[in-house]
Formats: sequence, structure tokens, C-alpha cells
Amino acid sequence: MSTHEGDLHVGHQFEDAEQQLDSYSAGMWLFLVTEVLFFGGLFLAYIIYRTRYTEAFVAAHHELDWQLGGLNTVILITSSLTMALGVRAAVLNRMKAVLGWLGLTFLCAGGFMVVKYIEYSAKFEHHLFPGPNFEFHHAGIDPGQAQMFFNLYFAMTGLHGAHVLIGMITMIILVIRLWVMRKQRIDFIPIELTGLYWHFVDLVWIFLFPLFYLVGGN
Amino acid sequence: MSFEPAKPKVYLLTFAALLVLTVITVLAAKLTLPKIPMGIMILDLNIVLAMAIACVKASLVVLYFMHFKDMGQVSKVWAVAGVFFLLVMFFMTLGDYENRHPEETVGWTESGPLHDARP
Repeated sequence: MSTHEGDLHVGHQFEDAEQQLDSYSAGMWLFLVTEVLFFGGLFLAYIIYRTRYTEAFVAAHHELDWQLGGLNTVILITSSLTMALGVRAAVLNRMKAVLGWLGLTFLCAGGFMVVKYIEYSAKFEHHLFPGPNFEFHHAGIDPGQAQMFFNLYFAMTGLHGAHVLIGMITMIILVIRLWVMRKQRIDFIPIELTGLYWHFVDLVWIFLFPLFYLVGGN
Repeated sequence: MSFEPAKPKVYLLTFAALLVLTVITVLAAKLTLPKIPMGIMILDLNIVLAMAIACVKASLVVLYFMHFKDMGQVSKVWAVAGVFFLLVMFFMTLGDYENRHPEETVGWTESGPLHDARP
């Protein structure tokens, strides 16, 4: 074992710890670029339909509960704060603080999914899930156009929700890894990379919230 | 990112700013701003304002939570490239939609696709 307590393990292919960190974070950012373009296609579809079916989109968005959406926004922003503090604690090699912040972030993510579950089940009950059972009765509004709003709503928040779940699984893996390597200096790189991913998930929601819950100007 | 992380105060201030901007977004949605017709599209100023606030929030997340300033050069290039290619995709596609004449496209009307227009 070349690793002593207090030193960060540096892979033999790297010059030093700093180059190692830069290489890992560059890889993560490259992945995030693909994610930006992945979600970007859906945002583009939203812009195109939103500018054509404006009235239907305004009518359909009243079916969403902006208070629940706002609650989820606050939950995700809070989880970004706890994640940033967790990464900080990992760099400073404070094991208990890392576990505490990661635990809080995990709880926030779980809370987000619970709120999402409440919202989704209400939509299913009200026949607002796109498909043969879709029903939308509103004077002067084409139900097909309203259905497009819910198509985009479920596609985009669903994909975002999947990212939240993946983030939660990653946090469990991080905690197991911390336990296995508890005798060594905390390897903060995986925590730092998970942090970048988590802030990206928060960032996507920052755009989803006004686009779906706060169409406004009615 | 460097090996000396930012002070917790930086993260707390970013968090507070994000909360304030969330409240502003909700309040801004109560306003009724004009909708400007542009060709076959309608530009809704409400959404323009909401997206402007969201962009400020996104910048705060990238600058402080993702510590953009302390990132390596290659990571910075990727981050900027991501935004650049996103804008390329948006503007090229929207420019096409804006300048395409619906009557020339089979199955399209002013308001969008027609299901029964196919031969």
C-alpha cells in the first residue's frame, strides 16, 4: 500500500493530485455536455409547441399545482447546498460531516420523489396522462394540444426524476465506499463528481419549474 | 476545483440568492405581459422574463456550487462548449421553423400538424 493516512491516492498515470482531479472533472463535464444536449432536445420541442399552442398550454398548466412545484424547487436547491457542503467536508477530510451532508442530500432527494409521486398520482386520477384515457374539457381548447403539454410534462419531469433516482443510488454507493475505505484519507473525487452531477440535476429543474408550473400571463 | 474549498458563507449566500430568485419567479408569473406574434409563432414576454431569471439562477449554480472559477481549463472549455452547441441547436432549428411556409409542407397547417391531411 503506497497510500498513507493524510495523502490522497494518485493513480500512476497522473503527474500529481491536481492533474488527477482536473482529468476526472473534465471527464464529468464532458458527460454533462451530453446531458445538456439530451435535455436540450426536449426543451427545444417544448419551445416549438409552446409558441404554437400557447392558449392550450396556458389552460393545461392550471392542472399542475405550482405550490408543489415550488416546494420541490426549494427542496432541490437545499439539496444542492447540502451536497456542496458535503464535497467541502470531503476535501477537508471530515468523515462525520461528509456522512451527515450526504445523508441530508439523500433525504431531500427522497422528499422530492415523494412530492413527485403525489403529483403524478393526481394526474393519473384526473385522466391527464397522455393516451387513450386522456380527458381534457375546456371551452375553446383543442384536447390534442393540451395532451401535447402533458406529453412534454411527463417526458421531461420523468427523465429528470430518473436522474434524481440515479443520484440517490450514487449517494448510497458513495457511503458504502466511504465505509470500505474508512481507514484512509477520504477520496473526495467521486464525491466531487457526484456533486457536479447533482448540481446539474438542480439546474435542469430550475428551468422546468417556470416552464411547466408558471406559464402565467392568463 | 482546487484543494482549498470555498468558505461555507459562499454556499449559504448562493443558496439564499437562489431562494429569493425562486420567489421572484413565482411573483413574476402573476404579471400579465404582452404576447407578441412573430410569424407563425407567438413570443410570450412572461416566458422570456421567467427564462431570464432561470438563467441567472443557473449561472449562480455553475459559478458557486459547481465552482466554475476553480475548474481546470479543459473542464471550462467543455462547459462553454455545452452552452454553445445548445444555442446552435436552438437557433438553427427555430430559424428553420420560423422560415418554413406551412402551406408548402404536406400535413401542416398554421396551428400545427393535421392528422387527417396525409394522402
